[in-house]
Amino acid sequence: MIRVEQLNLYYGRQSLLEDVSFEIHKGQTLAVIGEPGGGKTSLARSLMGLIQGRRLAEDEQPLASSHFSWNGEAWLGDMNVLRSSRAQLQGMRGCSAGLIVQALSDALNPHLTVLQHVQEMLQAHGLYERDALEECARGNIPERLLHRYPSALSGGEIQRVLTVLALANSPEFLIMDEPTAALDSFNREIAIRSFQAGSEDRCQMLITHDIELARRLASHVAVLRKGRLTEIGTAEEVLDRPRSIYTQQLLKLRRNAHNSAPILASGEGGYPELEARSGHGLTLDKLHHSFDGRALLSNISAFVPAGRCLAILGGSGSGKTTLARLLSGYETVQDGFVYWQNEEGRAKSVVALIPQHPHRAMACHFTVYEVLKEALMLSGGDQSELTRLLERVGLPTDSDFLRRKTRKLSGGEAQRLVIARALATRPQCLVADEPTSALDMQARSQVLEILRSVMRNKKMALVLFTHDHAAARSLADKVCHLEQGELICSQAPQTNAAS
Amino acid sequence: MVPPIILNMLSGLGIRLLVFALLVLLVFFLPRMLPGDPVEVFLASDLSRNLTGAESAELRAQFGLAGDWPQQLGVYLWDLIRGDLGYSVPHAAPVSELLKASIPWTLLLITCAAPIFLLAGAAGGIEAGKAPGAFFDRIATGAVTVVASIPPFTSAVLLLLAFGIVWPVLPSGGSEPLFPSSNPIQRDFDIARHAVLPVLALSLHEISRFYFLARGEAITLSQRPFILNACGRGIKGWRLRTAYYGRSLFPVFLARMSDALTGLFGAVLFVEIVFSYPGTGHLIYNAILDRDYVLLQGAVIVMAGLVLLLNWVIDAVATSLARRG
Repeated sequence: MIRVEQLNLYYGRQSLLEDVSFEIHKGQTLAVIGEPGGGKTSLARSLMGLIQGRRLAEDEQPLASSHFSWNGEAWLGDMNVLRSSRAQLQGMRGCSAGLIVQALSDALNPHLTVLQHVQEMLQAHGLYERDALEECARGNIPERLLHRYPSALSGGEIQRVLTVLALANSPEFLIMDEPTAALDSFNREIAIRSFQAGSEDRCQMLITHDIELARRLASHVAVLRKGRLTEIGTAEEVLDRPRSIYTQQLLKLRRNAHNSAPILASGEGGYPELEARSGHGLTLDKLHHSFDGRALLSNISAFVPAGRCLAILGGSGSGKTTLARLLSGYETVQDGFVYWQNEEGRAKSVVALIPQHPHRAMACHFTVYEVLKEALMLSGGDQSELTRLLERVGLPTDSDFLRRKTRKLSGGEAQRLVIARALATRPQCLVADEPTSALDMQARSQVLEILRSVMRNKKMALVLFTHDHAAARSLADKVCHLEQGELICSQAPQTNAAS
Repeated sequence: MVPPIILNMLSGLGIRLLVFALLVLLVFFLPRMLPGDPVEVFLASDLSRNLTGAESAELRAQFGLAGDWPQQLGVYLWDLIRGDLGYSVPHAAPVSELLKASIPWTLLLITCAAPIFLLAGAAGGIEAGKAPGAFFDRIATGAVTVVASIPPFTSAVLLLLAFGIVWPVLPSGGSEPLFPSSNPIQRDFDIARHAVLPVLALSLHEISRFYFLARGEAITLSQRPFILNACGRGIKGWRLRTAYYGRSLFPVFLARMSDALTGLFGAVLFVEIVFSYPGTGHLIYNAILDRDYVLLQGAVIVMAGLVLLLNWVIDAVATSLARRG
């Protein structure tokens, strides 16, 4: 079983985890939910012994430094990971304990192909009789991906590889840190099933902001807020009859996000201008794109009028990110046209991209002020606009906040800052690539609200790429699916059955 | 489909040809812009006799100094294209012959030293950068800092003193014994023995550069998610150091190599002088002392061509690798 006793973790003097205690018995799954920056990832890493730092002696106070320090105990089975030697920890990792992390683009070795990763894993743990190809097939990794390097994989594909790797050695203790955030609904099901299979022989810890996932997988739920466990109990207790106000708020946000009605509920029948291709708007005309000789996108045509939103849904690896990069000019158009339609005819489109991971879209050593100042310098705007931009996205405008480094912003704040930066360039069109998938519920609803208001008020065309159906429903005037490189659009916008 | 490395090589070729052409022009014009007349400088000795006008003109023609500059340039370029680099009077031999005899020795030193300083630098740097501030890091970084602060000629002299004179286990100079053995195996062994100290001196000079590069990179790498994830999967030891740290260092090392090459050919000059090693460095050094402009020009052009060629290949490989991210 996994047992954590009075664990305190500090980074320098800053406390990341405070007096955390819990037990996970064999066959149980504990979901740790809470806001980002609440110390969830640090908890996962300390259980794997992956935090470099030192143990504090009795009654010793942490020093101001850039190192981790801790006290308390954490047991994986018979092994106290916070007191074990490096060799013991290395013997445990990947053997009795497995870790699945959220698939960011840097999660796999850029110099090894998918198959090499799996083979390496099997060899490193002496599983010579197992076949790497079979392992991949079990994790729904199609054959065409096996010889690709991670730079040519989508977020969801990387996530599947990570899952296969973590489960290869049938670990006794499985620690999952946002294991499905990058997956589309189909692969999410496969992943959830693989976490459920054999879970009666495992101790699982699930770290997530996705309460739906917690509900499906977890037998127990703990709520972590600012490094402290505010509530812990069985899943029914915590999720259905939450005691703390914080948990109630978290759950309420989730419900709101799920039930958000489409803005234009009366919009059955569609919008004539979406079909008519008249007026101002972003036009995609017969886009074709291939990668390594393989067609990725074929014959993509669409029209997004100013002030309207087109949502493009698609499974992982369907070419969403490539299309987003094409629209925003990061990728050269191979065949076809992207232009802005106005009265005079075709003009060059002014597009701003809102990426999935806001922290990686900004230099971490820049302050909030510098990020916006730079964007305003580029667009020739004057500094007085800076405050207005911040207000528009609902961020504070005091000088303390302006001096904050971007790496210290929470995910939601960072994403709003990226939107503000995008607005500073006065684009005609915003392209948002999974703008909410890395955010918690609260931040997600804020970001969606901001996107909606700038789209309507500033008369911007918005192209939203997502696998989050709820987000698409709440924002979009028209929803299209990207399937096998083709854009398939339903005539009328999908309406929410619940409304 | 054309492999990307070929495209990279093609795109890098033009600029290097241009650089080479400019260098040839520079090498042609520089000696001619020096004050004084090379023929007079050459004959300026106490024992010289007065030359008749005809003799002087003949000598000028031999030096490639007949006619005005455009004519001279034409002759010079035509000779260059035919592979004729001129005739060295002090050595009484064609420059191309002299270079042909000395370049292999220089390349021997460089090709032996390169793996040593690259591998030692990478291995040490990775080990230190994996756990900065730990025992190994403190010892190794201290030692490398000391080595880095010693100029290459000093460390070469110290090595010579230590292993050639105080404890004479290795030959102190030259590339082979005075009378090379007729047995090819014995001869190879002698050459290797003579190369040990120069190679060591050269490696010591370059090791610090690559050690600090690898250490700095490894510190950043050890924070990157893919390394942390690999540790979480139980990848460790040799595999972690080669496939994860080493492979990621490769592009950075290559990029640094392309600029370190010039420094390497400079360092080899000191090393060859200290060990009286018959390579190009030694040749260039003597050419400077003898004011042997023809030899100097030829050596500069060939060495520059060599540096550009290696730099071209390394750059193309580095660009192809960088695409992977």
